[in-house]
Amino acid sequence: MNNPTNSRLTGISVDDNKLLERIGKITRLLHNNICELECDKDKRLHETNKQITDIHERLNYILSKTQSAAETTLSAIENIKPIQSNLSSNAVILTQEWQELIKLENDHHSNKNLAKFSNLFLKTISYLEDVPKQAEVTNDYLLTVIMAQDFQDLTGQVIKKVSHLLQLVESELIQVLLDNSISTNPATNDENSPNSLLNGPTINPQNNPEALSNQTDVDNFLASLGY
Amino acid sequence: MSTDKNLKFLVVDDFSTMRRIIRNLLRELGFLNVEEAEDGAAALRKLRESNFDFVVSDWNMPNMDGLTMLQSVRADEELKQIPVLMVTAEAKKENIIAAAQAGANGYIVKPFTAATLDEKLNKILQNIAHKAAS
Repeated sequence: MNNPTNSRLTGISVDDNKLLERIGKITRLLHNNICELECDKDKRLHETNKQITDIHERLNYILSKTQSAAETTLSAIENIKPIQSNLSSNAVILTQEWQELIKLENDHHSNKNLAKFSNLFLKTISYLEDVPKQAEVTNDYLLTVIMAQDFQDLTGQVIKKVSHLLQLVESELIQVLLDNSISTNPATNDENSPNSLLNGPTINPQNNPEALSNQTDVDNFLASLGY
Repeated sequence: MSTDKNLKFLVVDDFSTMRRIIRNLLRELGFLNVEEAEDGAAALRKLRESNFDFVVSDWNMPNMDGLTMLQSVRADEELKQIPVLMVTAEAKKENIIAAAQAGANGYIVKPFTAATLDEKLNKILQNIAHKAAS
């Protein structure tokens, strides 16, 4: 404490002036600091808000990319499958017809067989001509399937970015909590997650003893229950 | 024993790609009579509107989840006999217990293979045929 040498109640001494000046300075400093703290908190929350919007948009991008890739792939395969079945079943039919005709001819040679041979020969040529055309269509669809996988590259980058942003948001939020002396103990906020029946895919089975990681485990567990 | 390929299936999943995959797998197994529903509520509506022989359902869906749908099916005199196969990413023990208790005929955990679907489906159909015969 400053020790005022002048104890008069009226009139202000040089020491009093100094004291008032110092209190004034401290008050201004305190005021500025409080303002800055408030501004900083608002700025941080604003920043966090912006980042969360950003994450939302990026996740939507992943959703649409993966969905369109899956749909393109499924469509291509649905178009390929009947082509492949036709190629296969027509080959089976032709083979059977050839075998029957050859057997017929072996049993007894006749001119009637000759007409059948020529007919089957034409059918076979037509089939053989058709094979490369169908194979080309199939190849085009297979290329479409390959190209549809390009999402992995793009979504992979976005996922990395989202993961990084989430870390930033987490540290910003923790800082806001710390600045405002709110406990960050997660135990208080955790009660409804472990008991829920709607958890989605098990991301990390090793860390989750209650989750079964494959069909064999599920089957064994059901069997152990008597189902 | 050959199974009836005319069995009418209802595939319930909120993701259209997963419905398409299951539809394709069923076609591969020879089942062509397949309809789809995007959640439990839509599934119940369809089940009540026309006769289905088999339900393949996801668990986690908006509006009505697969477990609630299963419970509603079992509580409904008209529907309770329909076999229900759960195909879900939920793989916690309590999920499997809950599904079994609610009366699920089978439980497949995602991701799954065509062979798994084939095996569970046939097992369920055989059990039903066996029960009907005895």
